[in-house]
Amino acid sequence: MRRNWKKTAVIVAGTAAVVLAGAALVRWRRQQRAIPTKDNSPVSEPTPARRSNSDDVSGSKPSPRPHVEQRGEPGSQVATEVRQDVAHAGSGTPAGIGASVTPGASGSPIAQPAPTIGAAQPRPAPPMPALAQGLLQNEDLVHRLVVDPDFRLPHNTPDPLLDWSVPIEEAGGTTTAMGAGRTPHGDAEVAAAMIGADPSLFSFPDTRSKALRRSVKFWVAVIGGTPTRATNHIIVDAIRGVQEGLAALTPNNKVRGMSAWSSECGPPRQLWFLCSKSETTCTRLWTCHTLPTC
Amino acid sequence: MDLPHITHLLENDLYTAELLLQLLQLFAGHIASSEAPVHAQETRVRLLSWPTVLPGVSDPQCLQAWIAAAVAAINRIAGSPEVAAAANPARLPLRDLLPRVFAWLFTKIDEIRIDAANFHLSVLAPYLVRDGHGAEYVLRRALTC
Repeated sequence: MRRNWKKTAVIVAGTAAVVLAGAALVRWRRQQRAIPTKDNSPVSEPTPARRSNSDDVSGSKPSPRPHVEQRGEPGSQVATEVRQDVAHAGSGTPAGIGASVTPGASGSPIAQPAPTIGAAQPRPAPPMPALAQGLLQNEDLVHRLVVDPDFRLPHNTPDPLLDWSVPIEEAGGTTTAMGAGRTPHGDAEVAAAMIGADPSLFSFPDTRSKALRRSVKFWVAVIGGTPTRATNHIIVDAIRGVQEGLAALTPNNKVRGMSAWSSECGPPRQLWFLCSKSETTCTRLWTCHTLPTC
Repeated sequence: MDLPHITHLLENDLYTAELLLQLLQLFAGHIASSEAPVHAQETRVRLLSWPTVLPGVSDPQCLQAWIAAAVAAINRIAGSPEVAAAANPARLPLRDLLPRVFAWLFTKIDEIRIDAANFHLSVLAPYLVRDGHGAEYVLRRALTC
């Protein structure tokens, strides 16, 4: 009986020692997992296979790479082309691509899935502005930009008569009130003829009329005289033209090319204008001597 | 903007310089908000009399120098229309102001529009130059021309 009691005590003590040792071991392991170290951190070194692949392409030791290259296959040809796309993008992306481009971002060229290694995949199309797609339909504009990428529309010279200190009568001397002896073939006659021929003078995409409406003398000749029903309508049309012109300047406005037949540069041919979405304002993109010969 | 109402006022000689001033304020505010900063630096300068004419306007830097002179001219005529009419009885004072007003408005509109078009061209040009996109397009068009 006494021997049995001793056996039971030894078994209980041994079991308790084993349980305590196991609990201590488990607790120690949990503590080890909770503390990241260089050996078991989540951002560990690449696997030997990936490292060898990178070394095979670059021939150098793995170095701190931009963020882009840590995605997919770092040394693949497609990844190189993506880097070039980002580096050469016209959106002002700096050369340090890893600092400014986030992999997987929507709209980014590198957001597309990574192709397989060695497969001849076509280069992903760069993001093209919606405006550029419309302007590409304007072949003359494309030709002009290809020949001279720095081509820009020239600004108009403001009328010196816009200065209030300059008397209108003293500048030029040909401007008179309507019906009081206009010059036979001056701007006023041309303007009156255009108004009579086309009541939509202020919305017609014509360089001549647009140049006229920026001239003070033109307005003096048209509305500077005795008020009549016709001149009142011209004033209202001008206000409407200003209103439509300002509305066409909204940020949502899209500029696109449109064509019109003209014989200004010789035989009748189709010329292109750069117009607003509402087509109330247009600009011709070249002079006659810069027209493409095709 | 009620254009038929403006037409009615014009036909009855009721469209005054004050109404023109309100119209100028509307248009000038829109132009000032749409103008490119490079041109705004050139044109937005200190103002002379606009805040005194329009109490609601408190920022003179946001207005055009030309508008300031226009407002001054309008105020002179509006303040003493009989003097202005006596100086030139053949014309209405308002008709003396409108030519410069309209010419300036259309000049600014064209300037802003050209700025916007040039911005779009600056976006398109790098795409055409890059990797010969533009050359391929021109070649393709030339072959089919």
